[in-house]
Amino acid sequence: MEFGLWKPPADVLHLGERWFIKLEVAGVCPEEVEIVVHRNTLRIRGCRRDMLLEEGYFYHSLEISYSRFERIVELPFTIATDSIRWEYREGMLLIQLQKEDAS
Amino acid sequence: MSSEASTEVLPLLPIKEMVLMVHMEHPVVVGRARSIAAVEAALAGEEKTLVVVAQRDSAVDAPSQQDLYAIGTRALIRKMERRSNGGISISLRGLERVQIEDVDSTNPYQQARFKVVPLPSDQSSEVEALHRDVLEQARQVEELMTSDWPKGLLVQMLESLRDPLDHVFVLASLLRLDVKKQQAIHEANSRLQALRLIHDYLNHEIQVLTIQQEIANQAASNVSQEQRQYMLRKQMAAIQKELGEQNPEQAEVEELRQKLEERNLPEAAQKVADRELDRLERLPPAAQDYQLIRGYLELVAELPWSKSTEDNLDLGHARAILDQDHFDLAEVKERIIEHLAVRKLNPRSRGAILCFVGGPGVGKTSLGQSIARALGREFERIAMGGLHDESELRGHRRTYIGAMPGRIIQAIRNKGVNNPLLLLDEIDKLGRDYRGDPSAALMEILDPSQNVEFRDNYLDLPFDLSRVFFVATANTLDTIPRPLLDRMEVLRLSGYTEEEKVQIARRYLVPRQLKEVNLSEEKVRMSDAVLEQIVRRYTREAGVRELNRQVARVVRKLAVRFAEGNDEPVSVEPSQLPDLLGPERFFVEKLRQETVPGITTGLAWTEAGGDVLFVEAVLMPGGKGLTLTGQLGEVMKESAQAAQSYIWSQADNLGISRDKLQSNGIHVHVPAGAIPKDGPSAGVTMATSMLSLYLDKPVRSDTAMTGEITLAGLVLPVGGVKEKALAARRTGITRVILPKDNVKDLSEIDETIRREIEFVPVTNLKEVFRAAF
Repeated sequence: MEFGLWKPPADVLHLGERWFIKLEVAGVCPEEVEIVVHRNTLRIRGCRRDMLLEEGYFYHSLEISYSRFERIVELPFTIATDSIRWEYREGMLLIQLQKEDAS
Repeated sequence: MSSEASTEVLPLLPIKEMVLMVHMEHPVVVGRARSIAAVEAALAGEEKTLVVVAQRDSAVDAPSQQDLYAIGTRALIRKMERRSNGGISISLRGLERVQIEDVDSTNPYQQARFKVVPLPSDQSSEVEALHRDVLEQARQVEELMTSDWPKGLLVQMLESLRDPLDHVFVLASLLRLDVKKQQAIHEANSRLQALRLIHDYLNHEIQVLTIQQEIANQAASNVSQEQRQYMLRKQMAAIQKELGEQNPEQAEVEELRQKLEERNLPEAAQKVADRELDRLERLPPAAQDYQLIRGYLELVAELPWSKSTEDNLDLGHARAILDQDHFDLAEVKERIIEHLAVRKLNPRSRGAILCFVGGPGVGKTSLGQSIARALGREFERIAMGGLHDESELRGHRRTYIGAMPGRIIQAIRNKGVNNPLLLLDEIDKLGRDYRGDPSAALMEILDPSQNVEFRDNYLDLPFDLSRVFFVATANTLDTIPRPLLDRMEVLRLSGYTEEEKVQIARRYLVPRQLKEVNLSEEKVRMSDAVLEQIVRRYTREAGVRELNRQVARVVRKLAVRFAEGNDEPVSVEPSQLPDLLGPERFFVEKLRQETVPGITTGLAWTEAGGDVLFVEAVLMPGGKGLTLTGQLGEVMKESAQAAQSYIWSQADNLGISRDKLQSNGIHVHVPAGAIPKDGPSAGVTMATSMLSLYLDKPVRSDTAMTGEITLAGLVLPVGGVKEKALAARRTGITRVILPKDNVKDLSEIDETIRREIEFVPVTNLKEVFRAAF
């Protein structure tokens, strides 16, 4: 069971010292994405807005969660804040980061 | 987010019966047109959000702002599906708490202008403590929840959350609180307040659930108690079977079955018994019928269907026993011997039915016992006195509660043989009332052609009574119905003479009484003179019952002396009797030495034997007609009138002056005045009294008389001559006037009496008068 805002699914993977977080946030406006880092946690917030909003569209059924989302990801290390890079590609938000020590 | 104070506008969805709390997700079915429009509008928005608020009253269909709570929830439509009936199923997730400023109802759907009200975030040790308490309560609630709630899920869910408010909201949604309570939690200004509210509700919930569980447990334990007993019984039965024991009821049925088999029942009885046994087996022992059927089967099993005793048909032996037990009674003994003789020649002859008639104490009952002893039969006495219900004899039908077999069947069952001697005692004292006439039932029982198949109402099976030797006793035949009397052979036991009584006392009573107190006959000697004195002065009866009592009294008095240490043999003298028995009880009626005219000695027959009675008559100068007193019955009154009429009609021939007849009334009295008397045999006596009066000539004082008269002056025979003769002798009368037709009865009378008394046979009143003066 989920509570609160909707949570996009996330993968966490790493290539050596480089860690990647992949977030499934299709339809989200990249400009509105907000990433906050605190020690070993990463909080990603944003909002998915419906892009088909012209007159006459009529929902028969709905399964995609719109509006704001929030996703908190915990990592097994303290994150180096200045190492964070991100890009939005093909509906996925791809975040790149490194351990504080290693940087 | 920094839009806290700013107002926004979103479609408004009123919902019933629930409050959507922040962070909670709830499915909602939307059916109202206005609500559907609101949802459509929300779906047309970029973020698919709307404002959800609970209705104060779920009965209102188109709520305005007043019908809604002021604090609602901004919610996200997470999923949506259209339903076939035009409604929409949506899943709503609460995002923020909002304060609704106002509602715009101008569109097809309502729109709410609202301001976000952030959730409280106060921290204190009290919040902390309460929070822990609430979590503990939640655990308890889950523990107590029965039915469909998966165990552990609630706790697991709560553990996945950290915020105390989230815990409160989850609990509030799951506890199915009513809208008012949910709304109160939703509106809470502080965490503390929200926690307090949920704490109270949880407390209440725990109590309710506890009680609910207790009830459920109780019900469950009731069921299991019964099941336990059932299981234990089954086990017991199994153990008993293993041990070769049977349960008591089963054993009872088996025992009965065995008994019945041994009895060799007649076919009809066997059929009924088998049927009843089957029924018995199928009934639980607690059933009402169980005892009834058992009682019935026991009777059937105990009845001697084919068991009988062998008759001892040795005539010599029988005679010896009868003589041993009873003095005299030659006629009766002879009849019994005859019966035995017939039996001997034809063993299949029907049982005899004898009826002994006689006064009390003459030995009727003991004679019955003697016959049984002589024949070697079982003896059972059935008292008929006062029996007034037919079913006493014949039993009650089994349908009645407390039904029993009749006395006859009971007696046979007691004796265990089908040919006992049954003594129907005091058959003349049978009563009868609306419940039936027992004498009618007796008729069937006593008829040898019918009693082969005697049917007792209770037994309801034919039982053969034809081998039973019936003996009835009666004091008088008058009250026995004729048809019943016809079936019996009547044997009269008339009273004993004084000599006989002395003999009986010497041979039977004294030895018996001595034996009773354990004294040998050598120790006590009672001469015939003493016994005679007792018979004469202390008893007046036809039988010997009172005599027996008086003898017993004497013996007891003597026993005291022996008990006190005296060891010398005692010889009782007549002079000692007043000391032993008190003053003499009866004066032998001395002849009235100086008789006056109008007094005549008559002889009467009573149930207690014969007696002397005096008829007194006086003239009443100036009076008229005939006055009769002394408790006279109809018959006796009529014979007095007949006597008077005869004398009047024969006045001239008898030498009575007309004057005397016309100028005087006559009063006849028969003492003793309190004893009712009846019968025609005092006719001659009364006629003689009247004549003696008119002629002013006393009747001979040594003369007594008996006889019925007719208007023509004939003297007819009467009954009880022997008893009357005995009474006359007792009184010292030496002449007895009696009807000539009664002379044949004199043969019954003892030789000694015939020698002492002069009998004057007469045929008409003239002869009476000649003999009387």
